[in-house]
Amino acid sequence: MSAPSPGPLAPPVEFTAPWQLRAYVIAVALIEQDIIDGGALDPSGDDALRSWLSTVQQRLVDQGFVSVEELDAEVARQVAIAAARDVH
Amino acid sequence: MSAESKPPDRDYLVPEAEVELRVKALEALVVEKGLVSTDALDRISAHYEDEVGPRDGARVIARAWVDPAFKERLLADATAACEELGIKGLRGEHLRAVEDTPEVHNVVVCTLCSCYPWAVLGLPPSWYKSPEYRAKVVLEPRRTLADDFGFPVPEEVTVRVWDSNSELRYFVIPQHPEGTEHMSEAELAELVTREAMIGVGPVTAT
Repeated sequence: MSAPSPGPLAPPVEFTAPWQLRAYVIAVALIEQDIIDGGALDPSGDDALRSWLSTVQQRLVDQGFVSVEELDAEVARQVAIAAARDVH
Repeated sequence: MSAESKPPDRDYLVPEAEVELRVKALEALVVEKGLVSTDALDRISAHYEDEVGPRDGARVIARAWVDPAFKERLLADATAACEELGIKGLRGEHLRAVEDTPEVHNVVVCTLCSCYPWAVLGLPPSWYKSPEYRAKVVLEPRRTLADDFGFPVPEEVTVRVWDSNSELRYFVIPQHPEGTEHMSEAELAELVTREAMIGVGPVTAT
């Protein structure tokens, strides 16, 4: 795949935490793959990236790419990883 | 995430730490499922951090400096002119370019929130959305530029403040700096800063 064009990459808000950039990057990657329609993502606002994240998850579930159970399990796994990291 | 069998809705009250874990979980899953590759994610991230941003706006400004016809089109319809250079907004937002002259200096703010021409300027600086900047630059633009940005504008120059909103987003065409007539368009673009395109900093021929 060639380098993405800057236009469709315009983010909705200023990033103030690393997860925001990563959420944005995931959304853009899925848009590039025509898995997510960029028009479905809320345009702006301070909570835009949370909204994007929810919408992306919903679309992936609706289209059968992932299940809610898989999402829950992976979140639980990430929680465990974070907890283990905190212990050390 | 909720234990109930539905994906998370727009729950803006979810703690930041949990959102972070959701993102990590989503990334792990989309990669595991082969929907996107880690390389693609890293490429987009790097592209955003390194290339998208004020460099696109700088290209626009440099083109305007060397191509008067382009500058005319830019001032008439910045959205269309930026599209000539392959720059488009995600949501069809309208861009408007305002030109600095020896008589007028322009500065941009969004008094309501943080509306910003992402497509051409990339990341807005953190101060751009601060209540202090949004209030001060409207009330005392000249003093704000001098005191907060170290960018005094001569008294004989009029300062105009442009209030961006979700539908119309402004950026500044700074004056073509003297002594740069010999420079190429690409070299000129290197001189243009994000601050200059917001109107809170100069372009210097260094």
